[in-house]
Amino acid sequence: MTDRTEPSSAACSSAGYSSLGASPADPSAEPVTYRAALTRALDDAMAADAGVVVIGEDVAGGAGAAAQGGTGGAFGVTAGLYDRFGAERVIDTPIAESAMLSMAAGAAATGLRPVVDLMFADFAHVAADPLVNHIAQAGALFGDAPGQAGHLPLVIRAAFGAGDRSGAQHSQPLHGALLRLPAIRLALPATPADAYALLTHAIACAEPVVVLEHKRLYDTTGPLAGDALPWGRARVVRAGRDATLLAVAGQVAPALDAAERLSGHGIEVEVVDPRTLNPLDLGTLTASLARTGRLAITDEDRCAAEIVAGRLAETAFALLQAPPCLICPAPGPVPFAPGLEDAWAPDAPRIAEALRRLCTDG
Amino acid sequence: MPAPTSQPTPGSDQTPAPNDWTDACARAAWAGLVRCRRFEDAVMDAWRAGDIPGVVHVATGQEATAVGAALALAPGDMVTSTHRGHGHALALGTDPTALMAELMGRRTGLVAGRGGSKHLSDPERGLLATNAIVGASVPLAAGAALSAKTRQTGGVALAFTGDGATNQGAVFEAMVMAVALALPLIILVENNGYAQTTASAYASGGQSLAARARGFGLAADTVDGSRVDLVWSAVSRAADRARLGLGPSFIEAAVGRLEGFFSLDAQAYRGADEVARLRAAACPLARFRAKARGGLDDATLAAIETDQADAVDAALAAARAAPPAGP
Repeated sequence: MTDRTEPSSAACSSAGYSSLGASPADPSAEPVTYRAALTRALDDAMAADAGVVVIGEDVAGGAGAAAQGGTGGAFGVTAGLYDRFGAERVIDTPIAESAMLSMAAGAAATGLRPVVDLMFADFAHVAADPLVNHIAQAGALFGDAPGQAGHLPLVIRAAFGAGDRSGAQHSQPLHGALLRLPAIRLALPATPADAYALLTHAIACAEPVVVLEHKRLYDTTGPLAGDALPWGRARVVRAGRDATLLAVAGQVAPALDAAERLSGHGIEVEVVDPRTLNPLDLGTLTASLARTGRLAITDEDRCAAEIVAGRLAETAFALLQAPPCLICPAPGPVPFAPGLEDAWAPDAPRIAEALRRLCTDG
Repeated sequence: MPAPTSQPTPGSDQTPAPNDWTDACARAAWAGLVRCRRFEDAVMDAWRAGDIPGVVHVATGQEATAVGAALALAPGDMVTSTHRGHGHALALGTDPTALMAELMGRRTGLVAGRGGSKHLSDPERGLLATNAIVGASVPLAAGAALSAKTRQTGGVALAFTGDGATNQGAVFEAMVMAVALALPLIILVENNGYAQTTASAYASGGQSLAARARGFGLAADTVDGSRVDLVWSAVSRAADRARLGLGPSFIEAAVGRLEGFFSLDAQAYRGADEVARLRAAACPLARFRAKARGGLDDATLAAIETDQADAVDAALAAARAAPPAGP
């Protein structure tokens, strides 16, 4: 098994990545949306490598209808790519997620670099067999020695998260379920710059990567080229001395908000965004815990928080002055009604209250 | 009947109503059709006004499949449905106030505001559940059919599903299972021509969906889904077969989707005149007036329409006044 403690995975510094790395991000500081940053990453990768293809339902849109290409996926991330690269590389599929992912795996094993748009992360479970039994086991199935076909340069993008009144089957997080599959790299960008950098890296990576995009983030803005960090490195978003608060994707903003609220009450929280959960940057995280002595994790996926807390307890238990504090939804489906859904995902007041207790009672 | 080779067109069947389509059938069908239409129009208005959170998938133009199927089923039969399920629930008799309240996220909603538009359930009326995973209604209905067969209730299960769903592996597997186990299952495909924005003909290579099902061993038929009387007749035949232990049936009903895939759909993929053409040729309400009204005169239809409009308006007002669901 590869050592997941290594922030820069060898598999992900392949020749493919280097050649793509030569295509620089737009240095302009003009803010772009998270959505546009993802589009730009796809566009740049497709321009640089003819093997990169986008596959999914309505990624172009209107296949077989009067006008094609006007949709660009359920969230508009692939908008414009059909006009630029055509139907051969922006591939609309029937609704058949299981075949879609298996097909992408077979294509990745034979020379393409597919980027599958699953639409909602919930639909990954429709394709559980290719994901769990094939893509995650590819090394055993096709051989994992250099040059063997078990290295699948495959990206799966999916939108997840509560907050848009989509109900139980269009809101679930996926990362907790994927963390038990060590062969699948997992990125959860929180900013446009990270969306661009992490998706660019994912496409260049010689191994399967799942990129999970929180629905609440698509319209948020920021520079395209941020303070670049290598793949697998966590970002200390806000420095603090009293507790380390981990948050990814959609939880980073409420985590920061909570930290600011507590700052007025003499509690300084260090907010750390791991950016990738596989690999997990244990070095940066442990260094933070050495400063603060307290660990909190807020995540819409309690299983993910439990796994990360477990790994940190494994390596940094002696640094902890209190048990890890998980600030996560109560068990159960994501409810529809605004009042119920807003109470489901931990917001800034709930995160702040949990941290206040951690830092005062602990 | 020869196997169909291409997908049917909504609004194409000009045959007279079946002989056993009585005025009582027509009266009940008209009430259902206008209730569903009025309800979905009210849903779109309420959504535009900001009273319905999230997005909605209305079934405007697909009323005849909901109403015709519900008329053909008996108490104790179970139905599963899709993300476009408001009409199915209403046709089965779900209280429009509880349904509207659910869409608005109210405490008095059908499932207390926890489900929303895509997640409805009213088992007492025969609605096991609607579903937002495309295709999932079919194997779930196979389970309800297995239950009816094993418990010898005499009941059947009907899965509403769409053309897009017929490309899902789970639907193929459910057909295999239903044939092998001779389940009392009816798969009613509402083929509205599009899986979101992707044309049904693209996804299926232009093949008849009914012909595919026939290949699996189901009794498979096509029907003009704009005709409530013909849908009723087709589902009645399928239900009779199922109750006699003759196994599963598949009905491909051609319908016209008169609104977008969902409330945010700009419909750039459709020709500008397509919806107008469908409204003229395949509106189930117009088709009822032309082909299925039996002896009902205009005054009778107007009176029923007024009653149903009043019921929907009352439901809308009651749902708006209900308290929001909260923790």
